Amino acid sequence: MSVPLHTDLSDPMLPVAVRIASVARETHDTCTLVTEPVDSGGLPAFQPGQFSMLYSYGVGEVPISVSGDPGVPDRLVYTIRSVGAVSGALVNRSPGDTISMRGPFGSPWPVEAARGRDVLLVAGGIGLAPLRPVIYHILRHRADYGRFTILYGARSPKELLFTKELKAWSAAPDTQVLTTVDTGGASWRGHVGVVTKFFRFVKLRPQQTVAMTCGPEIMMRFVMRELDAQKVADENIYLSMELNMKCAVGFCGHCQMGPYFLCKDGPVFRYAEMRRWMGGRHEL
Amino acid sequence: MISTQEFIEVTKDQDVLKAFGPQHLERLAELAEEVEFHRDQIIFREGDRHGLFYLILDGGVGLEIMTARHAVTLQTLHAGDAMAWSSLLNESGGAHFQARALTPTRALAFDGAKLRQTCDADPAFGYRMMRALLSLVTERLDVTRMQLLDMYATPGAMRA
Repeated sequence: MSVPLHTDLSDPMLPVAVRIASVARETHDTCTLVTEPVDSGGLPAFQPGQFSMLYSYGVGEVPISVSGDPGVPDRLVYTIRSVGAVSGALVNRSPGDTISMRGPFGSPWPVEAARGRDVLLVAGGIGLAPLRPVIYHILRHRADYGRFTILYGARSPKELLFTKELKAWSAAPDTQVLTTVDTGGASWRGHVGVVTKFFRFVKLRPQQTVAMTCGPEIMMRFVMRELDAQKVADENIYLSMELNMKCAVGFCGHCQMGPYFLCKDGPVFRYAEMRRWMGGRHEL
Repeated sequence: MISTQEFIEVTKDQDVLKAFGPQHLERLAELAEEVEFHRDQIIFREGDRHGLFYLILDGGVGLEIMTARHAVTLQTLHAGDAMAWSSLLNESGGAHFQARALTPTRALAFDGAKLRQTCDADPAFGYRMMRALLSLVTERLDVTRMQLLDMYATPGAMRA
């Protein structure tokens, strides 16, 4: 399987204005913005896993993964956690506000190449957002894929994303959804512990499984250990490395990791490409 | 007590017992009692001197600690997990946490003192038992360390 590279953009540095059609509050610090074109020009298509550079006027620009349904192309949806000035400004937008956008950029998840195979998704925290388009795609084409498993971990119940959808997804045919938190509250009746512990409950067929993971790098390293123990080949493991991206086109070098620019060559990589560079092993 | 055959049958999927030979499984079977807990049943409370060591066969158990206002779940345990392993080591101490069945749960209960005596009397069995226990404790420690990491927090350098 190969991951096709970048979106063909005529002028990737030119932002376009988009209007915020709706805002959904996901958690105390995370919102999902649905954007629509300001004029009749339409929005560029995206592939699951790609990201855009979103610009809040007068504050700055940040990379945000598209979290919407690739089957609904006239809207671009972004789930944003407020962690700083720019993301905070974006999370506080209201319907009708205008922001700017560049992209979408980057390599996608291998949803087409995974047809006919089992798919395992492992997400941590806000990392579920870049994987949500994969979920939409697979559920829309459910018969084209084998077993579908989603493992999701978050810090606490109040920080779980897309809780209603998680429940709905688990009702899909031959689909297993397991959710855990690091710290449960008084009313939490679900799993408490790390997401990697779920591997004990998943009957993987390693030869026919494609795994995709997105979350904190530490979590992804532990996921890789489990997948390795389960004999899933490195070539069939994909991860999204969304670190330090600034320009989105490989000019500025902020996101360089080993020989790769994460924004241009990624953010989705095969583990076989990235394993040498994870965990701080960045020396050439 | 359950028969050796029953014991082997109900524990065949338990990774923790994979390395036990037939004679060691027989010794464990002599000490095991199958128990069931209904949803929300408190299996033991913090400080209880129940003296039992459990191996969960199916279902789910929450390990809880009581705050001033309510119980907080620290970790959930499932089939293949051991519970109350301090009963194997500590003759007089009470349970460190409260355990609550989150779903209907089936487990094997072992008298900790008798299991300890068996370990002392048969060092080969004791060594196998302690290796299994160490493996469980190591896994539990790894999980706890990862939970303490707060890995879902955004690093300062990535705040934008």
